[in-house]
Amino acid sequence: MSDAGNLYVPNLAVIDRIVEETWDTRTFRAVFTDAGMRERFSYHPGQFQEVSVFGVGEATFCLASSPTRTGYVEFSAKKVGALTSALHELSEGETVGIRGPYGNWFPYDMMQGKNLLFVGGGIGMAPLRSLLNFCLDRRGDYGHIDIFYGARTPGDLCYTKEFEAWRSAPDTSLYLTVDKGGPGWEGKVGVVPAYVREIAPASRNAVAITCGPPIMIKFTLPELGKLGFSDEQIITTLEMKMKCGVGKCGRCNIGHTYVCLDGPVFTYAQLRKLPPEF
Amino acid sequence: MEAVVLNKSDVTSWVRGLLASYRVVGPTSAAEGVVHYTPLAEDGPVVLDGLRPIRSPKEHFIPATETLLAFHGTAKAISLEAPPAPTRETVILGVRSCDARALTRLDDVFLKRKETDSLYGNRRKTTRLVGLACESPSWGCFCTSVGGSPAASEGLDLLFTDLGDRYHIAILSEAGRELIAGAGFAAATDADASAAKAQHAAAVDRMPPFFDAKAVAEKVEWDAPVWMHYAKRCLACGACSFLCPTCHCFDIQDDATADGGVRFRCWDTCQFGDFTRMGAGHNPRQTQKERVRQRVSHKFKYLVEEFGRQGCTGCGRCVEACPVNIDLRQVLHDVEGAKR
Repeated sequence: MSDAGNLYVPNLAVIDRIVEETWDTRTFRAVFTDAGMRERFSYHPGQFQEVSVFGVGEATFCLASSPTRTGYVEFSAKKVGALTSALHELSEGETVGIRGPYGNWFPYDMMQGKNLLFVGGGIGMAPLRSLLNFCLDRRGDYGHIDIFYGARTPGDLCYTKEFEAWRSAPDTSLYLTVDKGGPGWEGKVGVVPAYVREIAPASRNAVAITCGPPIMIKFTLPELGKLGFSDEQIITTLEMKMKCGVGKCGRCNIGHTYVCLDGPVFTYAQLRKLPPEF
Repeated sequence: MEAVVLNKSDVTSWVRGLLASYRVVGPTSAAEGVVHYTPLAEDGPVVLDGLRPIRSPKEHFIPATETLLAFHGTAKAISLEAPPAPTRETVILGVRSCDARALTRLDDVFLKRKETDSLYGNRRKTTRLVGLACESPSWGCFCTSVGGSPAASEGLDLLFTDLGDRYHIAILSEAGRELIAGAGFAAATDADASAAKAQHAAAVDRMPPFFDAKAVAEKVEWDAPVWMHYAKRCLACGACSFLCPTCHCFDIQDDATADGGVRFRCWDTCQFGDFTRMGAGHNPRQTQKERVRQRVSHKFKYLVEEFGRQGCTGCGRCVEACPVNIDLRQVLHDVEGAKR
């Protein structure tokens, strides 16, 4: 008799599409093998999943897809370690394991009627993409949308195939920038926080959602502050080392807060109350 | 409290009787008087008294290495197989009060925190705990400093107290009563009860509290110099965590073979440098100072904030095992007094 309640047994899913985002990052679209699971696996933008390559292990990835687009889940993986390297070895048609969805999510109900300011950097755009596509699919529920997205070089920008859809969505602006330009790049050169300062989106009736490298977050927060965003109006999502995803393995706590259970989404006001250990 | 007595000469036949219906785990002596909890054989020796076992019974609930699932095939066609749930009930004999209490702390994590870990939960549900009051606490023990006692009954089904030629057995639950049903044990007399009580009191007297756990929870400070003081000599060996009856952290890894493999979890510790290091290299706990702070703060502050009780029951194993003599009692004494 097998133990049906075993939390650690993943659902099998077949990788049906791999998008080469950058030289080191790919987006994987996975379809659950079990048709019932395709229905049952409902999630919210901002939640995460444990993805496994059998024989190599498991790692934590945010759901990069929007739950409004059904039939599959997506995650983006930058090749940095053993598990992500194994993922990059996979071909379409091969099987991975997925557990989840876990964690809390972006408060998209509270955001209704508000202007949204997305500030993303590099692979940090992945969780924002879930919320962004969610909001674009329910465009009438939200106000003006500004999207700031930056990367080191033009070749490090992810989701380039979606830029046109974002740019052309009603009442939506896309501001792309790179730290260092290159051949064929006619867009902005400079860091994300400086671009935010230049465009100066209004903070009134707005929510800022940010995710990216710590250095980008560090310099973006003061800019948002100058624009009048309160700590409660700034929302981010944290990355922490996790194994179980369900509050047992003891890895992702910040003080008594477990990022896998209480997060990964926090307002900046909440983060300021946590011990500085993330 | 309802209680019976069992002559020591009858212990072996009682345990043999239990073996007919249960898997029985008990303290067994290995070389040089070291005691371990191991499954008892039909004809093996039964030794209830003796030294506190070197490890707690934790490993019978979260084994040091445990298969989470097996997988068969390759990435093109794979099937999964979960391990079987236990089919036989287990009785653990000679459980110390600190270790039984420690299981209630593990329950907080594995059963109460959001989702239930059924691997742990099934073992808890199918295991009965027979306690043994500590007559002479070991040199590292400090259960009385963290709200416990050498004869505390929390989490136990039966509690044995050594009265010389016999045991006084307090019946603490229905599950415990079933273990002695039909064995024909005599009811404990008032004299037996008094003798057990006196023995408990004498053990408590031998253990004056070292620190005030409640005060410690209030005084655990982020920037206190105490963390660096102890981190400087900490070897990060993890012995404290692995012997701790409440430390529960684990890693999940895969072991592959040509046509499949297993995913397992194994004990891990916040004392290791790569415990929190992420794939791309960022590590929120960069040095041993942060790791020492985490272990102490987690047990004496964070868990108190989360569940209202410490993640420590004062078994003293970490004190006795630390190769560089970091004495948790002294650490907490320092925290309490805000010295260093």
